[in-house]
Amino acid sequence: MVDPDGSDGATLEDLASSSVALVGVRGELSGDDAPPVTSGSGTTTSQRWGRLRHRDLGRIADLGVLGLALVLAAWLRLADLAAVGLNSDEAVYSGQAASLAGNQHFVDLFPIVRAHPLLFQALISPFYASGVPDLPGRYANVVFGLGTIVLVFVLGRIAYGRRAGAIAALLLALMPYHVIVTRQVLLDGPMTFFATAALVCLALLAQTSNGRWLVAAGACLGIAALTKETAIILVMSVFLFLALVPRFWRPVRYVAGGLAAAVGLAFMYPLVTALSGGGSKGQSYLVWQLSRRPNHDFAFYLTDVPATMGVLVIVAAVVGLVLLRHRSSWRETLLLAWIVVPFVFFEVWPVKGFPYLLVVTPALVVLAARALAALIDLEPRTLLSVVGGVVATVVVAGSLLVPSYRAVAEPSSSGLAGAGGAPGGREAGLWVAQNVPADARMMSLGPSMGNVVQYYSGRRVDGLSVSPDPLHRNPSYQPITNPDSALRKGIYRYVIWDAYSARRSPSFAARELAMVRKYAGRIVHTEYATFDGQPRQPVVVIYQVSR
Amino acid sequence: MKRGASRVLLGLALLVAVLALVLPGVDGARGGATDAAGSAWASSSSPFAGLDSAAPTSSGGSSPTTTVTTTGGGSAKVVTPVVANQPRRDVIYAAYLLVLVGAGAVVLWAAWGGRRRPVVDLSGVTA
Repeated sequence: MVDPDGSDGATLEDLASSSVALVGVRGELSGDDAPPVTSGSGTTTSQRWGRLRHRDLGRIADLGVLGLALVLAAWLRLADLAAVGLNSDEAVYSGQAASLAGNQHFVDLFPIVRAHPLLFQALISPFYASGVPDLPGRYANVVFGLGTIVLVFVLGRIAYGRRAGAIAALLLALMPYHVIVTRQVLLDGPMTFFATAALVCLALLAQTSNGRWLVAAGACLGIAALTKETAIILVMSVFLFLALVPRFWRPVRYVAGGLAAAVGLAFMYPLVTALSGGGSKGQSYLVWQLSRRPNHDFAFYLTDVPATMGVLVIVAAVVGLVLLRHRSSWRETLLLAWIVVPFVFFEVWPVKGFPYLLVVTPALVVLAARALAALIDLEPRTLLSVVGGVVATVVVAGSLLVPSYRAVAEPSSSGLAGAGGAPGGREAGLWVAQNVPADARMMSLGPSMGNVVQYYSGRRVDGLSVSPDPLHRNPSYQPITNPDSALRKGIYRYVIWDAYSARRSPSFAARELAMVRKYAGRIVHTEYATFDGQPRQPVVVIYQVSR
Repeated sequence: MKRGASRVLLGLALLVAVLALVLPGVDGARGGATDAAGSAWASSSSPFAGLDSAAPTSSGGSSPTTTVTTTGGGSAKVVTPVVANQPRRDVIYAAYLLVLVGAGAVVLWAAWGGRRRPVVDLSGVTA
């Protein structure tokens, strides 16, 4: 990082890069792209050809790894994409997109303005103009996921050379965390794509010292924040980087331009919401987001999420930072700033969503790839050192591939928001669409399954567990202030129980089932799926009740 | 310089064209279809078939009211219910289109002049 003498730690690699640039050659920093060692007059032609072949082989191998990464990434993200229907968050974002497109199936059930900005929903909305589609948003997320892998290659190449870039792309392609999140209609995948574009711009800033890249990074961050507002915290990462590598502060006009671009674009969201007539609703969501109760404990981001990022990836990144500390430069400062700020922020922030830390994964895999590439390129280079580095890379990649494949083959039924689907939800919704009168209102245990059934059926579903206190509920949801009375009056003729919500709130589940018994509820439909590792468990049960 | 400028302009034009097709284009097409359906409704199945004027008498409230006059001289007030939280879609599409084009232009601007390499600063060089 910062050297004791106050300099920013420019290394010989920086110097080599700049020197090469001065003579008009785009040289790379490490790996087989490194400028060739000066060949003396005694070098024979066969030696030159041998060196050339070696370099070409290295280039082919690196590009082969990148190609393999993209193929595996596409396979892991597209395989069985429709196996499980939308979960609650996916239903909400898809419903927003469909309402934005004016799809009559959704406009009365899914308000356009909800908790997050609308950039991604606007991009996918043309595909939701008619019918009840559930896959276009997932395909769009896969495309953003693949785009992020390409950007990670570019980032790794700028920072540590082509080999590190290719390995980083492979690690991200196989990472279960990235696979799981980019298979869903969530905002974190596209947001991470734009944030990674900002990171690439910052790396280009450091490589070229051209301040325009700082403004471009600000613009990319602004777009990321318009995809999901939490990306705005990355502005703090940028300032942390600029504080630790002060040579990029000047000229100040670029810093100001970058900040203006990021904040100005991010503020388009409330501005657009107000101009389009949804202002008060947006403010209600902001108040609700700020006053939400914690949904996970403090250890969530220390235990659950790192396991899906890959323990060996984290170990490789840390070992690389320790063992290669003598080579520290702006690169590690930038990547660590990109990891530390979001991690600390979300650790302190009470609401902890599973996909929130996706934005740190590009920086993490580049740090891990740096260590693995350094192992392969260890000097003096011997067959043993190369094989050792390759084996280490294969082991780390394999430790990611196996859980990713399992996540695809056996989708999670944990009910954890953002961690997978809700098996049985889509099927229950489609059953409702075919068997329940069009104007019927339904009562669900919680709003999560309510969103899913509402999405597929077009029937209004209200959640029993929605708080009547406006401060403690999502402004989109209608509370049932007196469910007993509502059932007695026949406002709700159908009651939906689901295993995912029942596990999260057993007290509401007991209350719901008590009312089902009181109003002579009879089961009219049951959906079965694997739940808690047990096959064929009842996951959604629909009761018809009588007054 | 000339080549770079033309590339930037070409990129911008392509970006605008693609986004203009993808974002508001589909919405516009659907709006046309809706208008056509509305005309068909007014001319055939509507109880107000044969209207010769329809002037909005209030706007901006929760439920805009329209006074209609029939050919026979009678009039009636039609209240159009407003669906909750349905902001103007054209404003949203236009704003996001503008934002994407603007951010794309900034990145292109950076790429245009961003290849310049610095003079080597030897201060702070470590081995």
